[in-house]
Amino acid sequence: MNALGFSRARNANRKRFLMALALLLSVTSLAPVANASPVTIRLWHSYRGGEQQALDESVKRFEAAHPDIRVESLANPYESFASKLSTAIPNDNGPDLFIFADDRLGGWAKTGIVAPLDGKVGAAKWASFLPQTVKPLSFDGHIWGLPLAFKTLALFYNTALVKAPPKTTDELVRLAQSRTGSGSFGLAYTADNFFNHAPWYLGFGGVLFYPDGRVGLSSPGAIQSFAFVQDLSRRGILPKEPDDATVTRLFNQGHAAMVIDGPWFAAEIDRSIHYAVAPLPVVSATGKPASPFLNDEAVYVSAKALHPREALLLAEYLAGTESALIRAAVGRQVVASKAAWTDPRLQHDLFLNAFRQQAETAVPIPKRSEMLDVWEAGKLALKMVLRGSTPKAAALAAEHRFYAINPLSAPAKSPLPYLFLLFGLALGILALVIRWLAGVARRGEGKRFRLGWSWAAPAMIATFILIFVPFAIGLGLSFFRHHEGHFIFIGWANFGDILGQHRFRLTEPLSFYYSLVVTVAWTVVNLAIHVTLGLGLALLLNKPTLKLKAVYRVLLIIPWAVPNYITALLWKGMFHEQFGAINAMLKLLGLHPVAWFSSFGTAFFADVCTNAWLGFPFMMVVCLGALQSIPRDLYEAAEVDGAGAWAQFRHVTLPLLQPALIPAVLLGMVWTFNAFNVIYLVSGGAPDNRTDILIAEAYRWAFQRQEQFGYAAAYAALIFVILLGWSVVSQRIARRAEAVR
Amino acid sequence: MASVELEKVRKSFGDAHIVKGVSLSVATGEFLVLVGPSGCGKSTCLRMIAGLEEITSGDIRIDGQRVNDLAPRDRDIGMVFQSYALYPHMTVKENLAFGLTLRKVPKTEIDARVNEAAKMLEIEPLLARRPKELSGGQRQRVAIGRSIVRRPQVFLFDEPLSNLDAALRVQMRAEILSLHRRLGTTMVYVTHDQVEAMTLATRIAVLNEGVLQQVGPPAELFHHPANRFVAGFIGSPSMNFFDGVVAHGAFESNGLTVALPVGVQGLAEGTPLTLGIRPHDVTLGEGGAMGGIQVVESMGWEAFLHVQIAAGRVVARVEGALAQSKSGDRVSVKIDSARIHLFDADGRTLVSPQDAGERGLSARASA
Repeated sequence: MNALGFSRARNANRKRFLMALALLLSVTSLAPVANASPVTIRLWHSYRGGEQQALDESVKRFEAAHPDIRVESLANPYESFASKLSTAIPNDNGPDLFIFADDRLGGWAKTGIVAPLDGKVGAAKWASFLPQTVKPLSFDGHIWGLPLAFKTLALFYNTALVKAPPKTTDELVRLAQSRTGSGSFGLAYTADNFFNHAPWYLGFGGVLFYPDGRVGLSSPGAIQSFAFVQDLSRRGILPKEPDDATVTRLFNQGHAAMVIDGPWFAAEIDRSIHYAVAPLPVVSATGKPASPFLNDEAVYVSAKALHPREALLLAEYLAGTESALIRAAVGRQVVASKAAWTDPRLQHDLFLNAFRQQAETAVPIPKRSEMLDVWEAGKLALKMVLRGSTPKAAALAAEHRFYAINPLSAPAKSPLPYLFLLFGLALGILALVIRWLAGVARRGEGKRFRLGWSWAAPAMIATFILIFVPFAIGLGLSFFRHHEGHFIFIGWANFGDILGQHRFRLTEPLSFYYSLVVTVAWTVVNLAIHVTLGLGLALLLNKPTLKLKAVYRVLLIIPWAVPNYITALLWKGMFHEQFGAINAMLKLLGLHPVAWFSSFGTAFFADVCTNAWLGFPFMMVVCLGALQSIPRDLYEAAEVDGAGAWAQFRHVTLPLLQPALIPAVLLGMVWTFNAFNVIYLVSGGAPDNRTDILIAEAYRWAFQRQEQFGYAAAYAALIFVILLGWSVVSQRIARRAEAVR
Repeated sequence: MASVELEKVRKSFGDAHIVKGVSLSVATGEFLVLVGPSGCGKSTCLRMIAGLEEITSGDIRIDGQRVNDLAPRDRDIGMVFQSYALYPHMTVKENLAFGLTLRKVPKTEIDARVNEAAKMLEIEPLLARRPKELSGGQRQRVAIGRSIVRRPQVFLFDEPLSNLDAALRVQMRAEILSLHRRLGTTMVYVTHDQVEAMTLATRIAVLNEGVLQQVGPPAELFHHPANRFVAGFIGSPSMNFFDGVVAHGAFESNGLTVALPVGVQGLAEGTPLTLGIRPHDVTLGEGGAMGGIQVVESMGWEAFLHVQIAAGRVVARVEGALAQSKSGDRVSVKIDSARIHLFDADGRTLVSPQDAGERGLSARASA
């Protein structure tokens, strides 16, 4: 139900996995498009829940009115939707029309992903929309989409706690302060999300982009807005480390008087809570209203639509009054159709009207691809001030980050020499294959092993398609630069930039070498803990005198059986500064609570704890199996020889565990090296990407920083090379260990 | 070197009573073989001496010192396991040296002792190898060597030869014997193989169902078994047994009549008895019980004939021309009352042949 672009944390993580998969599939598969009567048009969207219901209802009515058109609508996971559109449409593999917000319009208009509509839609139609919803859809002198609805942030307040909503920020602070204390908070919102911060940022006069294109993250208004949030946090008005789940919980328990959120928040509010919505207050310092971003949802016709005429028909219907009323009633969307607002049902809808009113002061998101980098940079500044950095320092750090993650602008190169090399390589491989096949034929093995080959073939083919093909594509991708849907060949430039350290200082978290050091430390620390814990528990479980062994064994394997992202989220919750179980225990012991995610050491510790919990059962099972295979009389012989418990462990157990333990450790190292889930879900790289391991950084380059797929692929290739090198070394170690037996 | 004494030693696992009050003393320098069928408790006894198994009740003393509560390493014993229990990750040399290394013996002395043991056991060329590169016999030597280098007071052997093939077993038997002669150390040796027991032991202790049946030199056990169990267990092939009663002053069993030997003539009519006679005491000749030969176990010069007579099956050892008998031949089996053992209904020996000592034995008596 939340189709708005920038509340990123919500359910983001699973979607992102799906996205990577979907992206891959969309690149590798070319589905044929049927061209038969009745005409089938494809509609893509990312609606969920009520919004999806409303859309389905509208589509049904449209199909009833147009029997010659069939609509195939596809709900996409939001997180992957934009990249999917960017890659599918240029490959003639996209939809005829799609629904998306206005923020990506710039790039899509420039790269020919969407078709302009101003010539095809009459003036009367354009006049039927609220003007502030049409404006954001203009770009380059054309209008590119028909507005459906818009979303902005507004102030939700618990009417039992707040009689009249604050008109100014001074009032807000005063009111919030009076509602703060003993576990209650005056104001709750995910303050470290730049989308949620935008109302203050713009209200204080912060500049997003100067006319010359420089970013305004350190403009005076920006710094003031960061200071404002810091003040809110210092006063205790805001909960610490707030995330969406915490905000919802606090509001539903009556522990948050006010919440800043979008219309989708309504669906999460408990029935027992009486609430109302009001526009955000005026910033007292500037007299300007707090201006949230306006997220304008529109329906676009693809520039590569197979049936543009039918697609436009559907688009116009969806943007029309009938459809708008369904959207308002079923999807609870703040619709763009003027006529709909004259309907008495909408006129008396206080909830929707509050958002409509807020839209008067809302600002469209700048239509430039660099805006994508502002989200990460802004978040960095917010996290820093919330941790106590000075607003100025935070603003400068954000500005630095903004430029640091700007895509590489390496010049296009001729791929010819590379192709030549590739051709040579392919030829070499082919020659090897032919030689091998000839050998097989000469020895008559082809016939002799025909049955064997036929059994192995399905697995070989599957491995080839599922492993080698994506791998080759990924490797190939690392020689390209992705820019708004286009891949530009740039040779070794990605690798040169990553390894050459031109953009970042060595000690900066974005530096490859910094991440590599963190990754290695992460791997070593984790493995040491996994082995110690796993071996220790296995030794305990292996004691012949232990009772209830089966029960313990099952209990100890549970951490392994629970899906690891659930475990990771649980641990993250336990490490929460204000609401976490760990700080609660520290308080019980009379110790000070720790802000776990505010420094590298403590955040790393939290990640390690989580991964230790996840990883020890595997080592335990391996050790237990190996221990049980050590003959008892070896211990007896050692006992007679004069070995005590320690000497038996040192001279019998340990050496005999080695053959089983070493492969497990080597395998565990590869897993831990790429343990993306834990890092991403627990610390999320906090503070400031300092705990990100290589794979997490690769992910951010691909999916959070203007879709630098090539750069991310180069990261992945480097990770592969490192692990390949390691596996060669480790095979030697393993072989040596095996020789013992 | 030391003596080993067991006094009323019992071992139970819950309700399962494995060893039921064994009292036994092994003199200094003696080679005592504990023998009995599988599950008789002999290995448990040995493991209790080693300290690998706790004693349920009773006392064990080594060199006069009560060791019930001492850990194996404090009992100054050496033990050779059936599975050899060599450390697979160590070389032969490391295996031999392990006990000394743990005891922090100086390196030069370790080397000297290891080399000495290796020389004694002729495993010097194997010192650098790992156990998996050795044959069964070689592993056994290493296992023995591992005990030797520590120079313990007592050697314990737990069926050390049962994993070897027959020829190797005979060879190793001789070597263990010569080792005992050379070292003179007290040895307690467990086996289920009575041939091993007969050939190795100074004294044999026969164990059955956790109860000690008889202790004595091999010849004594052979000629004067205390009961039917020992009589049947010692000697190969086994003694022939016939169950019968006293009738008309003689032993009578299904058509087989044997006069009662001197000393047991006072038995009442109808007393149940078991007659035992060793195969080499059975003779073939006119006037005996007739029967058909079922099986001929030929050894060339001699043979064991399994003959079915009315009273049951009897095994007879024959030599020379008789060894050429064929199965199916009919022969007359004679049982000389001077050569028989008689056991009462409880299996206790009533009488054994008197002149055993004079006949001489193929089996070795003692060291």
